[in-house]
Amino acid sequence: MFRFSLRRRFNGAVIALLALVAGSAQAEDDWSQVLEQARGETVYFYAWGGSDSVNRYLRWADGELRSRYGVTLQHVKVSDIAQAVHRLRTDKDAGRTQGGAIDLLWINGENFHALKRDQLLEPELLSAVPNHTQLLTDKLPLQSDFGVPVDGLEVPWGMGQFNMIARENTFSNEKVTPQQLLQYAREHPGRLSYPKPPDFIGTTFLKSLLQALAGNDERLYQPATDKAAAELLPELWAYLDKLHPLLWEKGETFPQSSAQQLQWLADGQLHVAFSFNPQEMAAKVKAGRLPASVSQHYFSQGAITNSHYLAVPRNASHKAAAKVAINFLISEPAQQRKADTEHWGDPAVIELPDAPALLPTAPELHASWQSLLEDEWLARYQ
Amino acid sequence: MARALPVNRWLTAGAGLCIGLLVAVPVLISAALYGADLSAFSASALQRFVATPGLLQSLSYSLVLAVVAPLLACYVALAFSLYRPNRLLGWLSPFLSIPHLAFAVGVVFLFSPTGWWVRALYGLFGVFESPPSSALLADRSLWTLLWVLVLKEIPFLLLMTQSALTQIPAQRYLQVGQTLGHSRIASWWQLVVPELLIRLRLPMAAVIVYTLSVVDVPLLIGPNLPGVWAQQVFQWQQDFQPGAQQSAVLGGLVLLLLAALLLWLNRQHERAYSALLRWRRQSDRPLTRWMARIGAALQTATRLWLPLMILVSAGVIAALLVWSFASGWFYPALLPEAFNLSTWRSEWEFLAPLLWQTLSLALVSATLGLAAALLCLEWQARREHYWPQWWLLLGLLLPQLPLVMGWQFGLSLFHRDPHWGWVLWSHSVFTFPYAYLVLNGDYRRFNRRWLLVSQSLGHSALKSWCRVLVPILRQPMMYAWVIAFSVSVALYLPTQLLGAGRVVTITTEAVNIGSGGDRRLLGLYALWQMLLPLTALIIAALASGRRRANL
Repeated sequence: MFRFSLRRRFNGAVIALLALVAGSAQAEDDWSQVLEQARGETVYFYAWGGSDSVNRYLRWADGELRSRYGVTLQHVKVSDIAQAVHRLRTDKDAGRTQGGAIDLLWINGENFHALKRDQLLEPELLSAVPNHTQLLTDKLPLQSDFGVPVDGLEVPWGMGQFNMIARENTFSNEKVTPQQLLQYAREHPGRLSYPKPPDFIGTTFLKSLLQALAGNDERLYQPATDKAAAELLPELWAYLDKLHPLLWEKGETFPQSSAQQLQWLADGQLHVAFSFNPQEMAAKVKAGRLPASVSQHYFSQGAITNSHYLAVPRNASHKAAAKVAINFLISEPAQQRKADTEHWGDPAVIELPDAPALLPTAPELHASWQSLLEDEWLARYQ
Repeated sequence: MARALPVNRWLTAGAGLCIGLLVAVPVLISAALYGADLSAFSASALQRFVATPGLLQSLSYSLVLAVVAPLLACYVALAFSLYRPNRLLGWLSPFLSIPHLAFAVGVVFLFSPTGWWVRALYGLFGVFESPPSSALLADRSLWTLLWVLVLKEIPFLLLMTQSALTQIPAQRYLQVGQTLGHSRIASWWQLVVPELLIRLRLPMAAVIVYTLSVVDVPLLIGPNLPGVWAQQVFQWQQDFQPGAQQSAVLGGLVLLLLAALLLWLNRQHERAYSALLRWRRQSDRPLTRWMARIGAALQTATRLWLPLMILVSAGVIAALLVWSFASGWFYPALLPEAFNLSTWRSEWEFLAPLLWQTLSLALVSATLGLAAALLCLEWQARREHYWPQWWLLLGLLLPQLPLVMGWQFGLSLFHRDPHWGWVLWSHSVFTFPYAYLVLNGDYRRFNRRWLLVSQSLGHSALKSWCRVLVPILRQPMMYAWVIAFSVSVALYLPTQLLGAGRVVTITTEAVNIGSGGDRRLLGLYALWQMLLPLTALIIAALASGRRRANL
């Protein structure tokens, strides 16, 4: 019995090895074909254009892709990636299944959710790029995007962690509770604000508050139901009703984006700004955009952590070049530079030597809470 | 009277083509698509639309803005025109050419709670160690938006007032008024202004519709809870949520209705003014002393407009320049810790192609717009029959957003990708009416007998036109071209929606950077957005100056 099983195992291993060798040779062959096809093409990369460090990083990636693979990366800057989703939907309605304007997308959360539901994304993208084997899928939450399984439709690119950047002497502790925030607002009226939802950082602020106020209720991580919303949200609105009159401009106007909030923090108009990048503070101080005296904080239940992804639309015109771009963007040199606070400071999704530790994490809410929170917020406060 | 010049076939074809491509087609495309969209409407879409949070407030913001800003600008321009300082026109052109967006960015740099003004107060008196919670203008508010628009519209209305003043014997009116025992100021407001208001009807309409439908400036400095109506419609247009598109179409329709209402009000403006004057005359009671005093004080105060505008514009340019060279600049420092070239150096490589793109679009579309305006004017002059003006100026009288949304939808319907050519066309649709509006008065007043004389000397019609009319109308033509050029540089919606991120100009990029909040970058881009039209102005001035010297 024992011998039999050993032999079977041996046979199995040999077959598996053979298959692996053959498979990888096959894959290599496929990839060299992709590279061949991609040469000379231009990838139209629709990505948020509101951060100059990201824009600069993408300019660098363009240069590298040109010299390494003869591929041009054209960053099409959008103020909200929902515009690209809208474009793909319009294409779909017009029956345009080929020759689309978008080759590559930077997305996550509800935008991914929508595109997945409408089957507008290129399937099996993840396995099509060789470097996907490097991804830290075991260590980092990369398999599900806001509670929605990725299913190989998108490739992880980086990580986000919701954190707060405060002027000195604002909070005594690294960890902050909603009550401490409210207390600070009472003592310093007009000095706090947050990016106006549906800005995603503004919405994440609401999510963090909700997490803390609802004591991490597990229903937040499942598709939102009317009942759960009716039970969990009132406390959040009660909190905001108290907070808003104490905010900048008495909560009648909000910063349009987290970038604007950061600028007003630098000006001293606000005392706290939010970021989704745990390295942003270090990067901005280095660049002379924030005074050196600022400090980083996070909500006491942990920093909401999620990943952001790259995806290719089904009707993309330059799929091969888009895959080459993705493969490069998750390669070590590209991830290394991305993680460097000199450049962008976005945490890597592959193993890097001396990568800074992440903040204590809190899970991301299920994607369905996003629009629920945004719609209710607008209905109450707009 | 004999016709000065014959209407030739080419001229007719050219004028027809211009009107077809720049007025009829753009309006019809949008109208057709609107019709199709609206016929497919459901009650639920309407319900959702009506339930939009902040709907009424947003509408009222837009209404207040589009009534108050043009009226304020109009009366300041009228009051100021009484003085007619020497070389006013020379001063006007740089103000005219400053794009709204760059001006807005600069004004916020100057007057926000962390702006230079507050920093200077801290430096002088040590007040406001931390930035005040309110200053002259908040970083974002309706109030800020209102002032930026008022200040920026005054120069245009002044130019149009100057043009209108050459059409009426204003000095004689003033003398008559004064011989009847009225003061100069009273004669101005009672005799000249009613005539001016009639002639300002169309320019005012253009300003009103612009104020109602502008999106880029409110995106940067307007309120956002809610935003002004055009902003709301723009957001729907960009949104992919189910129903957002229908809301955008309905919102566009409401924008059209608002425009119609405001244009109707604009038509009543001169009547209301005359009625007010009649009522004052009949009521027979003299103004109370304090009212007269206030009136006189206000009248005098407008004298300050020119120095104020010069000061603000210089401040705007200085603030943009300093930010673009700044490294590490925090409140309450009056100047940055250090100046360096890093922003310029690192951005120049990416800025330069943008500048070329913007420049090429502006050069071609301004020239096309001016040529089309000239063709249409010449054709009408030769036929001695003028069309109703509002017809040709439809591009200015319809809110931009629904118009451009229609074009964008049309392009995606025919699977057309964003392309330079489409953007150029869309720019020309707007440069044409501006050029026409600016040129119209002087062109019609031109004494066409000169052309007849020239022809009787044996010159061809075309040659007479070039040698006689062009030199005489050089200055208005230059104004028309420069204004068309700055309009093209500053166009946001058509570039953004038809270019879809592929065709990018300095303006779309500046709005993008504005959302990123880096003042140094914003300073650099806004500075260049301002410099481009100024350069065009200088070139045009030099060109016309040299020609004049040659003559």
